[in-house]
Amino acid sequence: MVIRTYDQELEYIERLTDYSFRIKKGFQPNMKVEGVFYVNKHLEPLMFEELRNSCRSDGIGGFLPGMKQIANVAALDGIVGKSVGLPDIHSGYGFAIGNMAAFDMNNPLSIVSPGGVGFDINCGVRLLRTNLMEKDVKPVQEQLAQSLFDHIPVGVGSKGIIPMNARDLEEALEMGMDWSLREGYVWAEDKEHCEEYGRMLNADPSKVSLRAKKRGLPQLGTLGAGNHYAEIQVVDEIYDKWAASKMGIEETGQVCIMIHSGSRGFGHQVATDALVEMEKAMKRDKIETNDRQLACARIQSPEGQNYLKAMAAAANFAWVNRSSMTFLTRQAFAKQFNTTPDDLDMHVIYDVSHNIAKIENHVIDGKEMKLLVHRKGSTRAFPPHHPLIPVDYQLTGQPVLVGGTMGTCSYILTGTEKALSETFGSTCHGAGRALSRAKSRRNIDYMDILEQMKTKDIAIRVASPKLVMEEAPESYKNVTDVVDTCHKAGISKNCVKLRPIAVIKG
Amino acid sequence: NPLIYCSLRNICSSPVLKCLPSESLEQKENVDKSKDRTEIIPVETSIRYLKSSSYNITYGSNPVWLPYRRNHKGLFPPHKTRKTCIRAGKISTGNPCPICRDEYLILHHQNIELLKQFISEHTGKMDSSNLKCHSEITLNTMDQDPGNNQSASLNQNNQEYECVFLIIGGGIAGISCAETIKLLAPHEKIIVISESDLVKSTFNIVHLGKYIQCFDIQEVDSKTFANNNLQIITDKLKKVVSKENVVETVDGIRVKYQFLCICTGAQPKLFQDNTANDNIFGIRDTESVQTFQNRIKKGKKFVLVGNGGIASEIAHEIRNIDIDWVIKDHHIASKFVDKGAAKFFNEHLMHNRNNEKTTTIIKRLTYEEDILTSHKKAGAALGPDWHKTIDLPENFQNNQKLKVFYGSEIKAVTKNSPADDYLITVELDNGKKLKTDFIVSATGVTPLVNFQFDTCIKTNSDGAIIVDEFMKTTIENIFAAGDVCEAGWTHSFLWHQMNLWTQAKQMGTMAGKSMVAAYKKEEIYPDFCFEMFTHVTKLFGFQVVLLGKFNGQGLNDGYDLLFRVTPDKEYIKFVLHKGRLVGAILIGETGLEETCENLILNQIDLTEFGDDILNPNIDIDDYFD
Repeated sequence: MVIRTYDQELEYIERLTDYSFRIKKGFQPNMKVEGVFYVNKHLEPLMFEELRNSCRSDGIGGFLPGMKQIANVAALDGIVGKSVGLPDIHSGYGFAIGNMAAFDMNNPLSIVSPGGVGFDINCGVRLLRTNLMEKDVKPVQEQLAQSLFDHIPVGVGSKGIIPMNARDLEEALEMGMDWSLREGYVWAEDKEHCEEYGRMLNADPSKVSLRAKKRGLPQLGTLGAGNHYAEIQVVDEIYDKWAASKMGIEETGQVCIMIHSGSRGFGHQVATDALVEMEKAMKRDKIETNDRQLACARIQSPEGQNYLKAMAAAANFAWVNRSSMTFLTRQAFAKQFNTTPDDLDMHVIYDVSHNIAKIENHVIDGKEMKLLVHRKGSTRAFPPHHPLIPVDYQLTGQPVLVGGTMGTCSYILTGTEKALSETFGSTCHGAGRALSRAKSRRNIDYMDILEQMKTKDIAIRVASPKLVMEEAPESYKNVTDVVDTCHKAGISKNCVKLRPIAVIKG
Repeated sequence: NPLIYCSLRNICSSPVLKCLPSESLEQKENVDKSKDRTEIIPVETSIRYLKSSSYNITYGSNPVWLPYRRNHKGLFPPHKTRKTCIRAGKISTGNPCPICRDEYLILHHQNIELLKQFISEHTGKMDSSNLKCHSEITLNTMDQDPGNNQSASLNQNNQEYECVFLIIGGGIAGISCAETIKLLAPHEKIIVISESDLVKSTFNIVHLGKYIQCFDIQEVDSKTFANNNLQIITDKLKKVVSKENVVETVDGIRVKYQFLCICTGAQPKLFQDNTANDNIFGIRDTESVQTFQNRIKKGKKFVLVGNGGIASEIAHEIRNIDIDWVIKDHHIASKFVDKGAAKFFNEHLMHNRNNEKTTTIIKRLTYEEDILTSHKKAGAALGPDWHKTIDLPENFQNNQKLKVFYGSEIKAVTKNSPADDYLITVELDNGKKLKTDFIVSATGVTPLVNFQFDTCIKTNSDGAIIVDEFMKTTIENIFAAGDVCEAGWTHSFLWHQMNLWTQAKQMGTMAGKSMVAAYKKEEIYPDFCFEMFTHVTKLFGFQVVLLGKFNGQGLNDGYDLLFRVTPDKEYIKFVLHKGRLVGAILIGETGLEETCENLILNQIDLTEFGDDILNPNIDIDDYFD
């Protein structure tokens, strides 16, 4: 790899519009296409600061700056159009989180990469609406938060709300939300408002390792997941009254519930298994990448196909997870307000996936092509009249749910025509954090005591301590900046802003 | 005709137990003696009455309700009965029901013979139509005690029980097992035989990752824990007759089971020496803690043996008596934390030394010691003893009465002459002699199998029952869980057995799962929690999470340790082996639990990240998302 100075690197970056930059070929070796990333004036310095830091040293260990990761993806076989970095981009395994890329299905050299999907396969967000107002919920929010996941194993007959034994799990992996529907945990309408109708048809549980299945089963008969969370939110501001009303959001103060979860341990195992297999396949098929983390396989190879089928099963698993949480949420609300979920109008507004690879048709240079679109930390955002979006949203465009980090705002956006032409119908997924260079500070006090633990075969290393002021706000990619950039760049349109009033961790 | 006998005895009805004498004495004098129901008849009297000849003369073999007819207009009796025939302590109706009329008939859950008379032959259920009065009270009484409900409805005597799932032991493992079965097979009969009235139940379960969970333990009265299909018998197991699927208890109760789970736990491993057996004891249950408390009140000095959780805590908490602490290893509490972590705690304590309000919570490593905690809480805080004991080995510390003898073991114990200040002398293997009052042995536990099997069961040299990954023993339909068993399957690279709450709960739950699976003939996978060691505890108010090979257990051929320490905030240790994360200790609010869990389970090569994997400026949880 050529080592260049920061100024030399900058020659490869060119401003396209007020809100986007282009990464020219040559920035990283073997780039097949160009890269592009979207930023506004707050996010722009963060991106360049990352690059500058990495020029001073060789990156931060194995952590490459976002721009380098975009360029490395652009060097993968079979990539078409460009490698896109969305405004919330931040460093991730293989692909940066917020990096999306599409590969030509008809090119035999095209690849699929688990790093382009992520570990938490089909991590995503679902939004439920209610006809309650903030004043109805505020006095009882504590009780609601408490009861939301309280009665998990209770009262669902002999069957668990989540697949509990081997056979249930196989079925759930194959059927996705259809499984939840069959078991009676969701409404038929919910499926309509889900990407892929909550079921990836190419899922094949037999391609999933036993270890992954075991990892997917619940622990000790509970949902047992650390980072499942739900937020009770209220509508703070409506930007597009017409589109919002199509989603059933009528006025500010209306209460919604956002559910954020994925396939967790199951997805991790599927991804890990695939990475191991693909490393072997890469040697066999002589695939070369700029970054070891970008392990990949030809789409048509057995490894590639196996991964796509297992990933689809993991995606189904995540939908079952979100459906179970939907069920619990409805139960909790119905119990609290002593009515039925129907009467509370607790419909699913939409369910989006953040970490997934899907086969879609896109028009590239006036020609329709079948593509494998990797979206990692990005959300599909299809424009009005697209055949893959539900009939209710045909006129508004697909709703895009963007969750902030805990305690900040969330947004509902809608897909645009421009997104389809510029970013394969994708937009941002949330907040992010820039990679910043730690000041080299070692805690000397500790070295001596830790040295004592050193024996012949054991090496001791000490990382920098966490600084008290380490959450420096300037390194943070605020969700508002992120959605505004997307709005200004035209790859999605702001519709509704939501503000959380209670957070429930699973 | 029973009615004639009835008049012969001139009897008049009974109060319900709850009826309290509330009216004044004058009023009482006016009441006709035959209608006065203020006197409370104990249920034992009632039970004897039902067996007596006077009862036999009155009712014969018929149920008490047979000759009774309700007064009502028209052909059909009104659906609702009156609530009670007794108002203000006397019979207030001309036609009282048999229960109210005969004061010796007491509805009580122990009065099985009486209750039986109200059970319908056809349904086997409580037949309230027979009871013409306050049927609700009766039903409530019967529901109060499921055991008798069950025994009555099955028409058995007290000594024979039958169930699908039988669990021996009311500790964490046994109760987790029972709870799992209750969840998975809610309609099947479960019996738990526990030696104590209190059972241990977990609550406040917090998931820190998918597999990492912390929980608190409380003792609950077995009666509150029991319900319709779950019965708790307080008794001790004597014998298992596996050929007949029956167990016998010390009190002679026989229980027939379909699936049996043994969760009898363990007892402290005692240093054995015949000359001084009275002066050696271990700490395991409430009783031994009381003994210990009595001894430390009287004694001047004791020798503490062992380096596990209990020993560390005794050393830290007991300050009013001299302790000679004999440990095999080269630093204390080596079972859980390393020197670095000890230093971290030390700094935290130094930092907060002047702040008296700081709560230093020590959470038990074994729950049995709860009484000790509450007792000691009032006394001296454990304070900075912790670090002093580490920093100054083999020195008598002036103000601290604790002396640590590293790398040594007890060789012999001799009794002193009565004239001596101390009762016994302990000789260490390095030749040192210690005079002491008694020895507290906390060198771990041995499995407790204090009953007989009719067939040979496979055990290890310590007597632990060997189980496979489904918690099955070598005898069919018998399972075991918790400290009593040894994990006899091929362990995952990242898991090892330790006698901890966490594992008792995991094993208990797994046993429950596989018993239900065996009953329903379902296929299950061994639980994933046995893929990686996890344990969460609290030390000095910090949450401590131990994952995988957190002390590099079994990695002789070299490994790397990577630390991130922020004083007073967090202490993170990663154990890296061949570039892969194999274990971690996380102290404080690190937020890394789930990430570590995934990194350890995934076994991704982290070589290229180097030290930066713990760079605080990188959200690795996001990176591996």
